[in-house]
Amino acid sequence: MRNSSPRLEGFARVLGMGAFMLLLVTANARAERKIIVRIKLSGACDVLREKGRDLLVVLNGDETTPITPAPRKGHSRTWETNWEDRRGTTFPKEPLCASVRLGGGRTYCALAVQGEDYDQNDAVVAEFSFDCDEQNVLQVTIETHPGIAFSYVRELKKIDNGNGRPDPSDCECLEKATTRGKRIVRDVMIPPERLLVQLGLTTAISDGDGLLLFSADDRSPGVLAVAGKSKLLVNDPFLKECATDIENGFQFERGDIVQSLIVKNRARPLTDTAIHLYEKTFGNLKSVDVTAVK
Amino acid sequence: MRRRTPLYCILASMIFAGTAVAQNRVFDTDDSIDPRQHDGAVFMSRLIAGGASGFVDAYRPLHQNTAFLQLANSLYVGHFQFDFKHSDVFGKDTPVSVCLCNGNPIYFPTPPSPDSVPAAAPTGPKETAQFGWYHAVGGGRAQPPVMLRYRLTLSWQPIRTDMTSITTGETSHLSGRERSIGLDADTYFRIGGHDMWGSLIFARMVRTGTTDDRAQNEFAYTSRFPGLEIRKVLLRANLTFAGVSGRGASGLNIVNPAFEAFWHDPKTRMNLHLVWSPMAARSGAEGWQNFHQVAFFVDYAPYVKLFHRTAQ
Repeated sequence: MRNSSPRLEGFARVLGMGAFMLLLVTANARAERKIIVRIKLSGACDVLREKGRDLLVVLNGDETTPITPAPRKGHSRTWETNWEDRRGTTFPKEPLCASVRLGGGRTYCALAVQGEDYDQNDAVVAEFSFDCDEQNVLQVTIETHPGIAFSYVRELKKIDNGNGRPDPSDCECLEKATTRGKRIVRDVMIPPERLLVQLGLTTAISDGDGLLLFSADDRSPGVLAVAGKSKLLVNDPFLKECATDIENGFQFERGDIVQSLIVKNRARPLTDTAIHLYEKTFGNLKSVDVTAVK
Repeated sequence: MRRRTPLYCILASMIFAGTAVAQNRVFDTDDSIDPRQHDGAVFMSRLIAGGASGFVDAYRPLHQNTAFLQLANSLYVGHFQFDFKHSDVFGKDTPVSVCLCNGNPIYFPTPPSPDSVPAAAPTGPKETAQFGWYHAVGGGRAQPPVMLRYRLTLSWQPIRTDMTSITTGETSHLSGRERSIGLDADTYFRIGGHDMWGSLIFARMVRTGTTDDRAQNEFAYTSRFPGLEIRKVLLRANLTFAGVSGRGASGLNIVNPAFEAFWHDPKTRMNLHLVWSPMAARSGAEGWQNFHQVAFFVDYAPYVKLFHRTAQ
């Protein structure tokens, strides 16, 4: 015995079909989030030739989880990997910015263009073309004792392409990472790169305050400077006299870091209450080691 | 490995550290926190305890030494700040006598005349609620924006006055109060390449139901100067210029510098403050007068809760 009317049945059928279509559309949209990231390098790039290291690619400033593309067979100086674009609006509608760590060199940040899918699968390809920069870089290690969470922000200004303006394919190079305990910050270009460490923060705040390790800006100089190829020097007048020399770097004690933040604050004079907050965010931190090797 | 002696830390550089913002009470320390210093909401309880000689409250001398205690609870969420502060000032209760002469009460000791510098409200508890908003201004490629705070302050202090009649010896009391509302805004500008930090303050204060009912409007600017560090002690200073009504002298009638030695002890995590605040106040009756306030106090945050955002 059927209770439902033919009109109701028709409505249910239409509703079911609609739901099915919606499922298909959603599945398709989800599929489009998976894209191929392709890196093309030009220039001599002796670093790669000599050491044969993997590339690390920092996409959209996320240095916490850089990606490692593999060499593309049949295409020289080309690397590819699959990547899921989790942003609300995906590439190519939303621009994609990246930079490359070469393990002895790094690139500036560049925007992707839509490339051809070599496998003819109609996949979306975000293609980045970089000039292999041969400027001196350092592998900077930050280690907290005992291990606490910290964040860091790396910033590299756009470079002038000769006419007083940056290349339109360049993008703002603001790269952030959050970690715990110890981290090797790879291929830091000093100068001109800026490296800000925010102890105790689980989210990097790009315009926030913290231990500014390196800065090319004379108005807010970094705690450290580099002499020669890789020797670190303490630049900060307060920490200069309080830091402990260790192999390839310095150890800074908690109390001295707090004091240096009281003494020197970039964005606003540090208030009494802000000092209490620093003490809290630093948790049980005792000291921080900063070392650098080429 | 070589540990350099902290003795050489004496030669630290000139600094840009601010002292307590222009405040009505010396122990009400600057509780501004740049929203860029925390990655989530922050709740903080602070305990401030100490004492002062020549205590001054809202440019009004109390003419006695006091001890004080403040419990401040602050919530920082994004660019907003909410505070509730309970403070208590302890001092001598001055006995008040009253004479109903010709039907009009005459109080002893006689309150200051309307064109004199008024006396501060008697010692006792005071509640303060504040709402602050942070706003970033300026900045550029080389420098981050400057974070300024704008704040509304409401306070309420009950004042109970016990009186003895001179003629009958009977005791009675008055239940009064002092209420205030204030707005303060941080200011920042550069002159000759130097950062100039300060605050503009407007406040209205009304005292009713007491033997000395008064009202005053304050309009003040406080400039906070760069500090200087000597060893671990931070020396900092500010200078307040104010025009305060209700004392028979219009225009600029308050010049109030404050000099502070500040020390943060990393072991106990306490901040220790020693403040000398000489105030020159002008009134219609007495002209310029000087009042000296010296305070020592400790502030400590026994409870700080961080509500971290999820790591990205």
